[in-house]
Amino acid sequence: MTVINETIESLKDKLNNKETTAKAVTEQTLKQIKAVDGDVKAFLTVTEAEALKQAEALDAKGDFSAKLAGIPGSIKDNIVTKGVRTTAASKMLDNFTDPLYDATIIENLIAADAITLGKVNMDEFAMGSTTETSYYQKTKNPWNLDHTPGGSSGGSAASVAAGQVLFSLGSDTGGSIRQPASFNGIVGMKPTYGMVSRYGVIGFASSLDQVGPLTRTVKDNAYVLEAIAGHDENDMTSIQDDVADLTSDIDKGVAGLKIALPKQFLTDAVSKDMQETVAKTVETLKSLGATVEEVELPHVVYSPHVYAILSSGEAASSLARYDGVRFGHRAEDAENMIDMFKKSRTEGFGKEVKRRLLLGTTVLTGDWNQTYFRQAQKVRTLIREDFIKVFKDYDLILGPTTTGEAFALGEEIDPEVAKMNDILTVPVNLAGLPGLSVPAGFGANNLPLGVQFIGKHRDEKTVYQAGYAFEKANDLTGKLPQIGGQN
Amino acid sequence: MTVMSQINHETLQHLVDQSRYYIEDAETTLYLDRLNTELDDLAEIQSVKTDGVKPTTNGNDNDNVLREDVPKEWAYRKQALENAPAHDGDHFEVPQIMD
Repeated sequence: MTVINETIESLKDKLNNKETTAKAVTEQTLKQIKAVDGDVKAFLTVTEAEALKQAEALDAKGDFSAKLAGIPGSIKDNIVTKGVRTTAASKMLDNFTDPLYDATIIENLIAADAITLGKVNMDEFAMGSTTETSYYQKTKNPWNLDHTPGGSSGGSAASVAAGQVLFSLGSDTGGSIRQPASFNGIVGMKPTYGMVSRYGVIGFASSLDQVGPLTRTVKDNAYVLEAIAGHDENDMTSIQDDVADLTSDIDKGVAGLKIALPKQFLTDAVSKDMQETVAKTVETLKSLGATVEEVELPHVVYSPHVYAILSSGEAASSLARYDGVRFGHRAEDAENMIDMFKKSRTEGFGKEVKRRLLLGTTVLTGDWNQTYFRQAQKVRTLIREDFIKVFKDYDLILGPTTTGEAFALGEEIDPEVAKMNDILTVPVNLAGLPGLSVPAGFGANNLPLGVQFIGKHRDEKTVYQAGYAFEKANDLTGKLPQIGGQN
Repeated sequence: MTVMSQINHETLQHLVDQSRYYIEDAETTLYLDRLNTELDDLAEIQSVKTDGVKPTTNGNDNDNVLREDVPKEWAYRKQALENAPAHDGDHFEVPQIMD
């Protein structure tokens, strides 16, 4: 048995049948991390001793009935983990070595008996789309080490693609789970806003941030989401309903479903490879019995602007807490309190964070508050209404997850391409909807391409059903990454 | 609606000051040009007709649920103090802020 070739279901069967043990799975996972992470650089912290202790306790208990019992995973480093350093890949939190509590989603993982192997790299405070703004290291794409894994959950995606773990938790403010999932040939879900607790998740833009799973298969993804989702009284934006069963009807298929294909998602800024991949996806879905029709989402073209304004404004507020007083980096030799705030922040934040904080401060200041921030909130309403209108007639929306393949390391990203990438992912965050990226094909450089299924509020079930049906019909299991694809 | 984004050196200094960090003198032009460019680009949303449109502040339709405050014990007070850069007994110790 090699963990890398297993799914959550198959691994749990083997644990239940005593064909393997949680300790053996954990040891093999640690071996894989050691073998490939020198190249991939996904992990910031590996919690070897804690993981082995967790696995031994699970073996001693001998009960693998919990949802993720014995399943190895990694955690994005903006999710607070008790006693395990949590940095958000920023110098500002470099000394945050001993957090006092677990985020609610970590408590949920522990309750599900998952084994967490450590914390993975990201763009600083989740601000970026290549994981290159991390204070610590540049994570590489396991399919081709000259390319980025995308971001900001680049460490999460790379750790799954490189076979280091079976799942990872990432966070998605404007595409940060789905874009790296697409770039790494894996599955990534941004759930409905409020479905997953944000208590203990280091905030970037509170009205947009949402945690979700990255996995190798659609069904694995649904299992992890079932385990982490649920109401949390510590998060005032948490949805009060019970978690839906996402897995038992996952093989229901797409026959009879009406799927919308927005024209605005398929402009010339989308690569030819991706256009063809989407066209093939449409054909596959039709052959499975779905109807696919073109629709309009007229206001999504403004979503990059709305996102830049709202996320920066919210970040300027969220990150005000890093002032060197109670925790985080504190500069020395400050002359007074304000000087201490400023020196601490000047030293603690990287360039990209500072750029966004300045923009955010500006759009919250004076007249700009009305002409930018308030106006962006209103355009956000129009974007939401566009979705509501389409969802009156359709069950799902389909589009490319990204304009094309993963960026090369250090690549200067064309502003038009960056803008189009935002148009593909950001509207889902603005409207609070679930969006699932599923591997769909490969581009000219043999790097993965993903397509995105967008669902109605709280309708992750239909999104997973479509993703599962498509994944089965479009078998890509023969293609493996350069690093970690096989044992 | 007219674009109101033109920021001069003085305004930039104020905004950087409010963002609570320092920039080097040599960086001023870079910051100024970039912020003006960003504001000009983002001004495109001002052309969208939003008369009578309510702002959206949140990704879901949750209503506020209000209840009475109930005090709870918090088990980590001692550790929280130890996690701070400095503490004195039961208090966070911060640099002197008043002369």
